[in-house]
Amino acid sequence: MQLENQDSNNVTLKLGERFDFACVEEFRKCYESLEPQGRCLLVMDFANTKYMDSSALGMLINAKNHFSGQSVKIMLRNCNAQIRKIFSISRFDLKFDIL
Amino acid sequence: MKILVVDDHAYNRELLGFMLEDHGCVPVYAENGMLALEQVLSDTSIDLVLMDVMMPVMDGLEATTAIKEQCQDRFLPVLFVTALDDEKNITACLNAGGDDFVPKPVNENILVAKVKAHERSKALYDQVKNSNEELTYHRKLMDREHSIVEHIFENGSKRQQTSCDNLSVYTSPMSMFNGDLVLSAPSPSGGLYLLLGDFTGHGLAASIGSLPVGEVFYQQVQHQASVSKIATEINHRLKILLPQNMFFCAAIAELDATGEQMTLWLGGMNDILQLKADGRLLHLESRHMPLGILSDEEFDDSPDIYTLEAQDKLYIYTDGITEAVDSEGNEFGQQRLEQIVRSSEERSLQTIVDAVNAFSESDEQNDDVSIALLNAGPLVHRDKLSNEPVDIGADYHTIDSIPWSLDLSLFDKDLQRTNIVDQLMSFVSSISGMEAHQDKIFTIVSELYNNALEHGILGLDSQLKADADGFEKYYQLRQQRLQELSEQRINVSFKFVRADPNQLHITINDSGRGFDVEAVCRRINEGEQSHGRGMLLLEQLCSHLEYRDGGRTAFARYDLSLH
Repeated sequence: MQLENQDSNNVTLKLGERFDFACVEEFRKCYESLEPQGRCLLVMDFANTKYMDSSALGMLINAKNHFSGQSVKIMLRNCNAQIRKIFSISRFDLKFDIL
Repeated sequence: MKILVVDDHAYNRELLGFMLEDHGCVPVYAENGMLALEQVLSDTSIDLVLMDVMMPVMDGLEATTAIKEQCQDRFLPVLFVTALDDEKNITACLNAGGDDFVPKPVNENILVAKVKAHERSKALYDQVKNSNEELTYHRKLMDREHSIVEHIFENGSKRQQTSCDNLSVYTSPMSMFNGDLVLSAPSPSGGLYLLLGDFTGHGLAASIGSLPVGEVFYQQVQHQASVSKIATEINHRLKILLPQNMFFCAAIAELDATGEQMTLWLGGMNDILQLKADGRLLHLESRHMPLGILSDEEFDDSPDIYTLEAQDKLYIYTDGITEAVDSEGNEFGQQRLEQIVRSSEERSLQTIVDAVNAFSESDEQNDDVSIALLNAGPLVHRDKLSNEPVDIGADYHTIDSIPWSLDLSLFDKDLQRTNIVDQLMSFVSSISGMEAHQDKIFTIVSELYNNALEHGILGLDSQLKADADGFEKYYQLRQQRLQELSEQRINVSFKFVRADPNQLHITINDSGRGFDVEAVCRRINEGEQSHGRGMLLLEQLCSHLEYRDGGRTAFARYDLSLH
């Protein structure tokens, strides 16, 4: 898992091969380390991610809740077919921008 | 050197004969043109002819014309021995095919010098002729080797019974023997796999690597392997097989059945050109080193995932296109290619290939061009024989299987492993008929398994996950309790059931205390909370889901039909 700051308002978080309960702590640390000033775009990059389970969904909701009240937009990018399917079943497409 | 002396006067013949013998030549004789022709035809060891002009029966001019005509494949110089040195006669002798003159009366030094000069020419001629024969031999040998390799490849691609309307490919006849490789296959779920690549080096040696690449590719696509997995496997194989200075630049792509999402691994290749409906041209860049260089540990298999629109066109090509050179050594180049892609009306591959050929003025036998055009939008696969559209996915979904079942018992040691679900799935996905379903089955099994482990055996309450701190605490507890595990087990059973559609029954039973399933389900619809989503996933993916024994046994039915 790796944070890439284009600038303070445009951040990409590259996720690892597995996005599941094993990275609960690391994932939380990553997004809590951000201190967005004003409008901010946070991109979760799934390009390397092959597996995701329902605990990962919970982690994403936590991230969203963490930034509630701030104008932070969370985008989910480069999801493979299986992960997309999980997002659409869980109706995540209503709450996140999935690209 | 054997020399035929042609003269109707015995004295002249003998005089020339003596002079030649003195210098180590072997003279033979003929009295007129007709006899000379017969002798030349019957004796192929004659190296040179000394020809008188005026003779009875057939004169020297007529005989020379006949000899030159009938001995085209021999190097047989004819030297006229003549006193006639006016322009008209000289022209007549040359027109008849004469190669040189020896003036009469014959001076021995001049005669010998001329004969020696033609002997040297003959030696050169023989050398060229031998080289030519050798070249022809090797050429035939190469053609034969090519046809063997071609045969192997044809049989490889014959395994594919379908072609895809969305893909067109051009490969020049010789490109394969310069290391180019283009492979495509439908994916079990109705998508399309494409591999286009280029081995370094030229000639047959460069194409040898194509064989293992083809094997790996066809084997992997059958199991709906991911693009990363295919790249990893090919890299692994080539790293072992190829010499250090040889590697494989490649594009490996998988287009899903809707034709809207492409997963791409691109290593050492030119940018792929993506032409949008509005005329914009995007570049998809290579992010990796070519295959066959990095060790398994160093290798980066991460792909890029692109979302396409139905009108998008993707051009994937080897550097044979951009590096084609004209007669002055200028390269065709990226700019020319992009111009054609942008401006051409039909946007077909042939337009590009024609442009490259016109530029390099090549006769198509020598060029080295491979290019593929992928049209986004819903994929249409066609049966190669009947030319009828086929539903690839349906073939896999309706595939009949021998009824089978698989029971696995997991004990403390097994439950403590983190990748246990992967291991279960590697059993299941190796069974034929499961290819198109493995992703969904993976999700079902991993959710059921986690419920059994976390709620049943470890006694974790998902209400703990209500906020971010609790969420973290939950997974810390999970880890802690997993370490303290004692005499617990989870049984997982898979059963294939013949029905319409065929079904997979998954039963997971654990030795834990059970859990309140109803409570978990009730909480699902209570707003934006961070737990309970696993249950929702399960209900969507399974045609039937049921918990028994107070939550200790979960039974899920999955329909092996198109979802």
